[in-house]
Amino acid sequence: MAEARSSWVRPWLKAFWSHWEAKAGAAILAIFTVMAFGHPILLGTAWRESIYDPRAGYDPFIRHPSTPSWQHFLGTDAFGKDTFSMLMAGITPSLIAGTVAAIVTSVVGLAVAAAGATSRRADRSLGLLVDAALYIPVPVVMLILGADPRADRLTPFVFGLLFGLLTGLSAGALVMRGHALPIMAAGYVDAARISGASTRQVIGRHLLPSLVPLAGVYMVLGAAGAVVTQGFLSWLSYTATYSDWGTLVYWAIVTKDLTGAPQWAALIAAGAALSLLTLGFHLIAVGFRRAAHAPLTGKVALPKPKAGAAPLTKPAVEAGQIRQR
Amino acid sequence: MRRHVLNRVAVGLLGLLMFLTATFFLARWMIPGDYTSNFAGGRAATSGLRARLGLDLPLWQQWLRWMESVLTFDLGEGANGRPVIDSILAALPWTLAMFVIGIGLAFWVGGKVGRWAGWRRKSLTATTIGAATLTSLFPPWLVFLVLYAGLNVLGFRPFNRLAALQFELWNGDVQPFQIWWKMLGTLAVLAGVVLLAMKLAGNPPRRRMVARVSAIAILPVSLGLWYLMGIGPWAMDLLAFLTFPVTVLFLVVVGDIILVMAAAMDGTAGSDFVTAARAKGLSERQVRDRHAGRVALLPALSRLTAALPFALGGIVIIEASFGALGGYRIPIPGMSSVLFGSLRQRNIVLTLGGLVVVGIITLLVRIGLDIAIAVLDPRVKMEADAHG
Repeated sequence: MAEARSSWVRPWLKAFWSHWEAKAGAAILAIFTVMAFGHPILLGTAWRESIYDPRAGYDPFIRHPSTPSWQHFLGTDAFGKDTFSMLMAGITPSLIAGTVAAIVTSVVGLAVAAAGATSRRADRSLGLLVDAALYIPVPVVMLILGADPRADRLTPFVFGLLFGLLTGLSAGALVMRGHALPIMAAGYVDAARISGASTRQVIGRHLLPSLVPLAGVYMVLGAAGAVVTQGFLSWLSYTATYSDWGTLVYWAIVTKDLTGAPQWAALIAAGAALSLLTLGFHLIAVGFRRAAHAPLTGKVALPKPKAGAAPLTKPAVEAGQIRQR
Repeated sequence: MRRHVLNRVAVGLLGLLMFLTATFFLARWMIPGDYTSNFAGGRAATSGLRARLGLDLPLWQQWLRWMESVLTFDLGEGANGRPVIDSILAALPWTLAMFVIGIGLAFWVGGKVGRWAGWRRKSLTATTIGAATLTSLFPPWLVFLVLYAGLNVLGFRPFNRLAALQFELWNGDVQPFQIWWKMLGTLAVLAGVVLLAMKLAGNPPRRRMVARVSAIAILPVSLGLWYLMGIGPWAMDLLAFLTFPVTVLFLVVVGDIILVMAAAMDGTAGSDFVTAARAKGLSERQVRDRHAGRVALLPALSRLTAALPFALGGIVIIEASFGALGGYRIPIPGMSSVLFGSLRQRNIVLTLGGLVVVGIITLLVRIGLDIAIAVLDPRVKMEADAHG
C-alpha cells in the first residue's frame, strides 16, 4: 500500500507546487500560523502584558482611541486595547475553524464516494442521504446553533467539525460521487477486477488517487465558508466566549466618532485579515484544481519507471495516477 | 427528458422529507424539556397541557403531527400571536427578490467574464486573483464599506433616499410584501412567456433571437406592466431600496461564478470538438460562445446546485449585516428576520418555519436547475430516448 501511495503522491505534490497560486496560498497560511504562535511569545517578552493584553490591556500614557503609531501598529480601540494584539489573538479561532472544516469536509466527501463505490445499494442510499443534506443551508444552520444559549460549547474546533461535516456530506459528497461514478464504470477498473483486485484495492489504487485533487478543491471551499460564517457569528456577538476578527469589525463600526467615521485602522485590518485568510484557502483550492487538470495543461513530466515497479499502462494514466505530458 | 425530470422531482421530494425530519429533531434538541416546562403550574396542570398539545404521544406520532402541520402550512404561531406562515409570506419576497436579481445578474455577468477569461489564457491569472478576492470578502465589512462610500464619500444625496422606503408612499394600507408578490408574479409569468416563445421558435438562430429580444425587453415590459397594474411608484421604490443589498450580493457571488466558469472554459480548451469547430471555419467568437461556452455552462450549473445552500446562507447573512450596522442600520425585513431575528427570545417556532420554507424553495430551484441541465445537455436526452 505504501508503495502504491508513493507512486502518485509525489508527482501530484510536484504538480501542486508548480503553480504559484498554491505557493502564495500556503505562504499566507504559514504567515498567519507564525503570527498565531508568535503572539503569546511577544506578550511574554517585547510587549508588556498590562498594555498589550488583547482582553484587558490599557496604555495609560496616551489618549484612546488612538491612530496607528510605533507603539501600537494599528492604534488602540476606545477601551485602550491594542488593535494589533487583538488582531493576532483573533487568528487562532479562525485558523482552527478553517483548518478543521477543511480536513473534515474532504474526509467526509471521500468517505461517501468510496463507500458508494463498494456496492450499488450503498451508493443509492448514500445518494439519497446526500440529496437530503443538500437542503441544509449550512451557514444558516450554524448561525442558528450559534444563537443557542449553549453556544459556548460551539468552540472553533466544534464549529469547524460541524461545518465540515455538513459541507462534506452535501456539496463535497455530491461532486465527488459524481466523479467516482465514471471511474468505477471505466474499463480499467473492470480489468483490475478481472485480474483479481479486491474492492478495497480498486478504491485505494484507482478511485482515491483521482478523487484527492477534487477533494482538495472542496475542502478548501468549506474552510473559506467556515471562516466567513464563524467571523459573522462572532460579529453578531453570539459567540461571546472568545473574541476574534468578527468582533473587531463590529466594534470598529459601532464605536464610531462624532462624524460617523469608524475606527478605520481596526476595521480595515480585521476585514482584510479575514479576507486574506479566506483568500489563502481559495488560492490553495485553485492550486489543487490546476494540479487536477495537469494532464490538460501538460506541465508535469511522466515519472521514470522504477526498477521492479509495475509497467506504466494506459489505465494508470487515465486514472490520474500518472500525469502525462 | 420528461422521465429524467420526474425522476429528479421524486428524489428531491424524498430528500425534502428527510430534511424536514431532521428539522423536527433539531427542534427537540434546541428546546430542552418541552414547551410546558416554561410554566410553573404543578404537575397536574402541565400534564393537562402536555396532553392537549400532544406532547405525551409517542415520538413517531409527534413526528406525524409535525409532518401534517408542514403539509398544511400550519406552522404554528410566533410569540406575538401572529401565524408563522404569515410572517414568512411577508418576509420571503424580499429574499426572493434579492435572489432573483442578485444571483441572476451575477450569473449573467460572471458567466460572460469567466467565459472570456478562461478562453484568453493570458488574463486567466489576473481574473482568478480578482475573483477569488471578491468571494473572500467578509459580508458585514463589505456592507459597511459600500454604505459608507455611497452615503459619505460619493456624496450622492439621492443615495440617502435609497437607504429607506419613502414614507409618503407607504403610510397608507399598502404593505411592501404585497407589492413584492405582485412584482414576482409578473416576472414569473413573463419568464413563462419567454420560455414558451423559445420552445415555439424552433431552430437555434431564432431561439437566440428570442432570448436576445427578451433580455432587452424584460425590464421595460415589466415596468410597464407594473404601472398598468397601478403599483408602479411602489415597485420603483422597492427596487431602489434593494440597490445596496443587491450590489453587495452581486459582488460576493460573482467571483465564485467567474472562477467556476473560467475553470470550465479552461477545461474545454484543446478538446476535439473545439478543433472541429475551428476546422469548420467558424470565427473564434462563435467557437467560444456557441461551442465551448455551452459545454462549460454545464459544470457551472451543476456547481450552482451544490452551492445553493451556501448562496441562500449568503443572502441571509447580507440581510442580517444590513440590519446590525450601528448608525448605518438598514433593516431588511427578509428571511433573516424570520430565521434568527427572534432566536434570542427563544422563539424557535419561527426559525423552524423558516427552515421548512427554505427547504421548499431549495427544492423548487433545484428542479429548475435540473430542467435547465436536461435541456442543455444532449446526453440526458439521448439517455432518456434510449430508455424509451
